[in-house]
Amino acid sequence: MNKLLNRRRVHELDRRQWLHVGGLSALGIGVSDWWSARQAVAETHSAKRVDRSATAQSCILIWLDGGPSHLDLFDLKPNAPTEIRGPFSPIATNVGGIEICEQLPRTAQLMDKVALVRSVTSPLGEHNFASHYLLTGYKPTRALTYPGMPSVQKYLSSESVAIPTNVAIAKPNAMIGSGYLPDSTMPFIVQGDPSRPDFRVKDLHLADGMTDSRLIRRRQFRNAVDELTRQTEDQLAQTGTTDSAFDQAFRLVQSPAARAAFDLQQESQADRNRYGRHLIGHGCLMARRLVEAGAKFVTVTDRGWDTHEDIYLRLKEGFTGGTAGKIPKLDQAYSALLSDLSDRGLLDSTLVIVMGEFGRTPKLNPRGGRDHWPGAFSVALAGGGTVGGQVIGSSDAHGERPAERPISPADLVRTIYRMIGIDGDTELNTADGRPVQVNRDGNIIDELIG
Amino acid sequence: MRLPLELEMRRLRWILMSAIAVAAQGAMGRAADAVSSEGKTADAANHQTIDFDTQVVPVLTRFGCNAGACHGAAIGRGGFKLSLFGSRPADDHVAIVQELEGRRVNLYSPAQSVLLRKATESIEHGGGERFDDTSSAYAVLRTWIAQGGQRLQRRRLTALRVTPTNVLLQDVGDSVRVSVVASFDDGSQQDVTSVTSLSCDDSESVSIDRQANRLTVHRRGEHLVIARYLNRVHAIGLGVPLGTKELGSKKIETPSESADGNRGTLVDRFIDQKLRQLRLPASPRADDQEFARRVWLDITGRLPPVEQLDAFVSDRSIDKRSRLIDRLLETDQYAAYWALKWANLLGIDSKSLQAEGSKAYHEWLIEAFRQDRPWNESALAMLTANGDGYVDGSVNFLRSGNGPDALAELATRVMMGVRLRCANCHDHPLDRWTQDDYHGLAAIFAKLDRGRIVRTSQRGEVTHPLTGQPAVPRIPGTRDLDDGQDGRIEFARWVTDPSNDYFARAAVNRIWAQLMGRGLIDPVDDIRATNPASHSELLDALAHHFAEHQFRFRAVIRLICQSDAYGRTSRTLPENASDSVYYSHFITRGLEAEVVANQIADVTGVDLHHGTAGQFDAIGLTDNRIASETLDILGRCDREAACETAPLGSGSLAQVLHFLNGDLLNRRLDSDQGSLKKWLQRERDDFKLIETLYKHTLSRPPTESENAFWSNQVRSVTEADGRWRDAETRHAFFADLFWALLTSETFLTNH
Repeated sequence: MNKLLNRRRVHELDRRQWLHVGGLSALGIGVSDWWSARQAVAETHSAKRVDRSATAQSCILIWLDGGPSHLDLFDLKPNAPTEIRGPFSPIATNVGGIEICEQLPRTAQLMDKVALVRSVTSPLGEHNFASHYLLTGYKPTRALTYPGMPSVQKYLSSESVAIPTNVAIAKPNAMIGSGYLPDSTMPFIVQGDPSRPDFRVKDLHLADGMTDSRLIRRRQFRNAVDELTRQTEDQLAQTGTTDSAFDQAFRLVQSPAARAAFDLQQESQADRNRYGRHLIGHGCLMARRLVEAGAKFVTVTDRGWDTHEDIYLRLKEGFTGGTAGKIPKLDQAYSALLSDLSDRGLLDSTLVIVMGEFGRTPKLNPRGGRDHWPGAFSVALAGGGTVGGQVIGSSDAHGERPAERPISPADLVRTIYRMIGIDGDTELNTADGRPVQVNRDGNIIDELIG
Repeated sequence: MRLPLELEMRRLRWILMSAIAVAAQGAMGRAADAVSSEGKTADAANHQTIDFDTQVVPVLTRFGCNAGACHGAAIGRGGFKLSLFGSRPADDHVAIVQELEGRRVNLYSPAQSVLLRKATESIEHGGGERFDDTSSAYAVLRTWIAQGGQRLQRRRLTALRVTPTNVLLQDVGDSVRVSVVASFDDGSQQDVTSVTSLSCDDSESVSIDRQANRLTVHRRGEHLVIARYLNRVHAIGLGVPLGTKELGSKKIETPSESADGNRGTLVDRFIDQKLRQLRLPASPRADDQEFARRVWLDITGRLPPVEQLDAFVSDRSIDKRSRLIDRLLETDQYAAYWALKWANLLGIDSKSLQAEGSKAYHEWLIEAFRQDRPWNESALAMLTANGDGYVDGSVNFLRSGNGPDALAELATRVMMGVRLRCANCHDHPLDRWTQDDYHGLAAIFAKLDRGRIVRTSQRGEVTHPLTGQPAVPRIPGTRDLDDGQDGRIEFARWVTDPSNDYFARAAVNRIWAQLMGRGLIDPVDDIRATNPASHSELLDALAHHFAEHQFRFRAVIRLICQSDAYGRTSRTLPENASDSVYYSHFITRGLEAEVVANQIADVTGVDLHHGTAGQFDAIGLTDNRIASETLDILGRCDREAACETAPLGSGSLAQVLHFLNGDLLNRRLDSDQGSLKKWLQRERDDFKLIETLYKHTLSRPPTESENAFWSNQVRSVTEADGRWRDAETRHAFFADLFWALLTSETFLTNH
């Protein structure tokens, strides 16, 4: 009869069935039956569409918010004129022929694990538009907001593990949201700076007087309130959630192992120092703990890369004469993460991505900064099946455009999906039943995976 | 049988469609006349001197040469730089004709011009082939070169007529032909359809056939195609009813046809019209409890007190909703709550204003809402204020924002609902704003001392990035200012002038979004021709109503709240469940952290403290940075990034864990002073107690099925004779029930 109706999301039909069998009629049965009926639906609703041939079981995205300078990190131009070259020189890495910024000495010694893509190119030079493109693989449109990669990952996998599978450390870029997918696929956000001495994920333990059985009862009651509010009027809520933040939190507090993953106090001082006493360092440390505990997609957001002014100060020194700029911190955190994952045998199954929304203008501006530049920029990938020790593509003499092998954000995102076992052609549905491919227009970067 | 009715509806629809089609044809007919009077573009090229500005530049735009991704980029591409979308034809002429010693054009052998050989990819071209040598675009460029490649400035564009502007098609697969006719100041008209660029950012919904200039719609709903010719951009709206014929032929139940005698307001005329066009059925009227909770929350930021709720429900008078609206609008709570909303969107931040400035500013706002001060008066005061920001609240608008650029962006966002920022680095590609506008307005705000004391300064300028010279103070999109004119006063007069459409539209669009959950123009700070309103006539009508009522907020709030559209239930029908744009049902939205904090304190009967000075009322806080873990966890607005609407709480880790294990709720449920303990003692009847809890949280008694559910729950934890084992067991049970209500989406949203 109505296309709108016929194309409803699969899980909404399931909800409807549940409401039918588990709603009013469930009032005659006990809570546990009612509960298990609900769970049964929750578990069958999302068909497993995650490919077992994935090269990566989990993914850590280190998002350098604001747009990191490709010319000062991974794609230096020592032979370009001073106003393009910038203040930093390249150094050799442990892979012959690959040079990166001198401010990345520790990363340089791990270059055999890293693949640098130096020819990413996009037409979008505004933060939100560009972030949307890099994080979703789609250029933003007025018609539809697309989900970020972590939400797609969460939507397509149906594992109900104790640890939240999509976690964001520090407030993430707004473009990494659930888009047209249900709110329940939003990242679980760990607020605050995990490197601060007083930082801890609060309220992980049951309040005094609270017991496990009461917690279970609260969870049931809470669901009952919302479900019954809707159901009494025979209505299905758009925000219907199958694994809400509450559901995830309930599982989390009931699992000591999952709780422990958030507890950085359990790391030795030496390890904490190795990653660095700053947001990106401790964010990476927590990401490793979470991945170890079963998280699938952890996004560590490091702000402050929108360096319109004084890149020497911002990127290297942090404060005049210091060594606390963005790049030394990144170097410390990134190298510690890669070597730690490697030591623990986790690097082969964990894809680590370092990127931001665009690069910076080749020509330094009068304030010693660089402005937005999406024409050519670099992304670093390691682990999770990445063929390390290679550079893919190159930019031209001034880092303005790809000189060879131009790669669009759609290509990059499709490749990441492929690595975490998601076929880009998979079709999802919007709330109004519109089919949308996970990725469109992207081609897999074959040489990255080998 | 329902056949006759169906036929009748079809006939009505047919008439409606025909009317639209006739209107469209009329426009196209005129277009056709214009074309025949001058002939086709290519022919014209052969007979007349080609005009660079109005004939060559559009070709460059039409074929993407001057797009941001190609030569229109800030530093050009491949050594060839054009202005973005041809906004600066003089520069483009220089780039094409003079740069590289004129090698881009070959006046003696036009076909050998690099410009043409690149465009046809006869020689290597990064952008590939843009058109071939048989195209009319080629003919125009070649002829222009052959004629000497001059820039004659023969004529200027005075008007552009794009048809259709809005068309409702019957079904997917239907199409419509686009026609674009330009009028020039020399009196000439020209069909410029073939050199108008047409784009749709949703190619799955609309396909564009450039041969026939036909737009074909592939999905139901409303879509947008952007037509660009020279510096003009027009939006073409295309719609296909969301409902199918069968559904559409059923009577659409709109509340204006409802039995209670309420005819709806002017709002409903436009909302219902659109629903009928799109064949979307409207959800029924909200019941009294749903309406009361909604209007109390929307106007006062508070839940209805239970006695008042009961009194409202039992009131039998026909105008009780409208009297309630009037009464709530007169409360101090209204002024306080709407001041908070506007403090959020103005970004009142004690970090830049200090606690004193922020307090003065916030209190000034409260007073404005209390007095229902006309918005144009307030805006004038904010733009022209001088004096001590700690004393005069209105001064602090100019103290906000980090520098003249930020102030220019703030002023245009707040007072005009536009995003000027794009025009910082280049002329706004989707709007009329230019870099001159941006830096010209910044130049006005540069002439200010913006310490604690604000006053006009003779010094202070901003550098125009294109010229490297001080930018000329300028009223955006209008005129440069002369020396000696006070820029702030000129801008303030211009922005608040009744003839400035942006001013009233931006304000009513925000009020609408606050009350209806979505702006007619969405996002509310992105008003531009290429982002049209979902109901443009309604927006105009509201703006008119606002202006007619001396730009007073209450008049608009009243009008909206009295409408049937506002009064609909948030519960959806199967046919309108996916609608989030046309107000077929009320849109559920989040509540500000301050509202939730107060609600929790009120309902549990245990005060919440913010800061150290014993402040209880979160809505009334004037310092946005006052220490409050509760407000942080509930997600108060980060004023550095201004908030237009409250977020729909998706529940961060910290928030959800805090609800679960933290003090905020647990301590209040166990407190000896709290409501729960009192109710437990006073009320021995478990079901009356459940009713009390529901009324205080969800503002309604439990339904029959809810009572059945809870009765079952009570039975499973009480003894066989129905008694509670002990008071603790009873308390624990009701604490869990109360907790479930307090953390439910139903409690934490307005719906």
